Amino acid sequence: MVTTTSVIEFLGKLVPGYDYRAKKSRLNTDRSVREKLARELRKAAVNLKEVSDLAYRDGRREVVDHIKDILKAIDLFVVEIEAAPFGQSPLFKQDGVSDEDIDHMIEFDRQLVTQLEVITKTSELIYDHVLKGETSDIVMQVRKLKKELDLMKNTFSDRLDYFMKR
Amino acid sequence: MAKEPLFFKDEGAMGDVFEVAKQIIEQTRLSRDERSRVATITEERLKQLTGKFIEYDTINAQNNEYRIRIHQLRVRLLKGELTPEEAKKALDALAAEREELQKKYAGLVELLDGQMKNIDTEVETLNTREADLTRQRDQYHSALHMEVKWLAEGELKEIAGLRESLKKKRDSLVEEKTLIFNKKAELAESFSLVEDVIGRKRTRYVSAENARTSELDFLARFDMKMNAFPVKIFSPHESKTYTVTDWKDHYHYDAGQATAAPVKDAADTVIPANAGSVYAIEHKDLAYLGKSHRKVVAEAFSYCNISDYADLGFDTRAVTLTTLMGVLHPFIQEAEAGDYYHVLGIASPTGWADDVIAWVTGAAYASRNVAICLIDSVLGEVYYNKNDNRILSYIDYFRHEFDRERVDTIKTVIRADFESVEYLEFEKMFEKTKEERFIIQLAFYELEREKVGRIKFVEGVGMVFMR
Repeated sequence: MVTTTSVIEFLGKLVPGYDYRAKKSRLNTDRSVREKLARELRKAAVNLKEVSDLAYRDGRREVVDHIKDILKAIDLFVVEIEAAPFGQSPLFKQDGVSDEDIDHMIEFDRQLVTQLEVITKTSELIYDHVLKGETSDIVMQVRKLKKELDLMKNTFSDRLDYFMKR
Repeated sequence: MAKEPLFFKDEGAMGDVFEVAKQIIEQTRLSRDERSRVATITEERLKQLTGKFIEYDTINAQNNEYRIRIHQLRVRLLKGELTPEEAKKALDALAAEREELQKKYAGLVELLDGQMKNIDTEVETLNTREADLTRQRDQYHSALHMEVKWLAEGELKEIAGLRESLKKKRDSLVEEKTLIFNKKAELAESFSLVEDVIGRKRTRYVSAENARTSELDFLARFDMKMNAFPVKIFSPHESKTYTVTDWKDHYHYDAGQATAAPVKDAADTVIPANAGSVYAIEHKDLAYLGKSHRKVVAEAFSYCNISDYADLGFDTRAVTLTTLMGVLHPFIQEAEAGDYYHVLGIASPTGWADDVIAWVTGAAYASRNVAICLIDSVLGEVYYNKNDNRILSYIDYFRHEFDRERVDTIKTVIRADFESVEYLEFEKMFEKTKEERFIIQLAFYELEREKVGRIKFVEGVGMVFMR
């Protein structure tokens, strides 16, 4: 059982009105979660774009290319998040939803939000290190970030599958 | 010529920023979960405690019933409706009930102790978490950047807030414990109310009428002195003396009407009302605006056992230490909360028990916020801590200054009359001399101390002076 008070409280703080129990708030909750994901990813993209601009200024083409790669992935992911056909999910149309389904929805959101937090925080840290001139392993860190983004995309796909196949 | 890199100087490695980001988020979450856990546990424990305190109300109700029975026993004994032997038997019958009540109060104290221990443990956990977070914040700060520091600081602030609320809850428990201790002490000495009468322990007889006049005299004198402008009021907290030419914050109150019997009982007898008079110096945050804060309060009130005056028409009991503690408790609490200096002058017509006098005149009690001066309304004596310099300037406001010449004149009249009779009635002396009651009363007491005779209360006659 993942619907512990602390998890719900945690998600409730990030997404105001977070509640899958009532039918009328279920769709809104999903929309708010996706909006939050898209917004936070854009923040990470802004940080990386700044790093890319600095790398370009200093003639580090390989860094620019790696960041370009991840920025493209973020853009596509944001579009996917915003355009996902969750509204057609049977879970949003029926009155009663089992506790198990609610637990799954909450667990997916928790995983996504956790991964998102790590991505945003890592992008901020990379930007900070660049400003301090500590850049010798930047490509490695950008690739790790890309890997985390891929993981997040997988989680999001699993969430979509779960919602649509119920 | 190639452009010199401005940022990408490769001066060092970032390290595993991904891992650091995870750590920061994990630590923040742990802290958040920990705080949530502590808050939930504390809430639950306090709920349990509230449940137990319903029991506290029941015990208090039983205690009140018990005290009423003791009081009635005392009244019947004093009125001669019971012999000392019968009273002793009745007391023995009440012993089991007293022990039961004491046990119940002890149980509540244990419960409170347990709760306080729990809160201490939670505070300890928070402290450990705070230390971890502080260490990590400093690490991140030195290695990385300000924003991570702010994140940790946000968590630290929340921990400080939670700890503060736990501290407040603990303080309220300590307060409850003090009240229970007072009740236990009252229970412990409850038998002495009757035993003193059986053992004919030397006590002072004060009629309700005299107690009321003493009360009015005391407050009238205090008011008169406080309004003899300019009045000098010393504020030890500010180390300055205020010169008051007009009191903006002054009022009288009448505790008796709110808590006990009315000033006149059913038989239309005047009884004291535990009245008081308060003078305060307040300051606003700004010159004319803002909230007012008390700086100094000078308060005088008279304390009597109103129930005895209502039931018997007189009282003989000196005020005991337990009773005084019960009276002082709210004053101390309020003055400490408001952090102002509160000088209390408390007058008792039946005088003060020896342990009270020893306590108040001893150097042991020296509070930052409350200073006490006790006044014996009949003898006119004042008791206070002579080592406490802060109260010295206030003593004269409370002191009962009697007109010595008038007392001496009455003493002469009494001495002359007493030579030819076996006893002198107070009321007849009052009718004969038309002197104020407290003057005659003081003359009686002084003559008793000079071993000219002794004072006794005779049913239907009142106070008499006899051989």
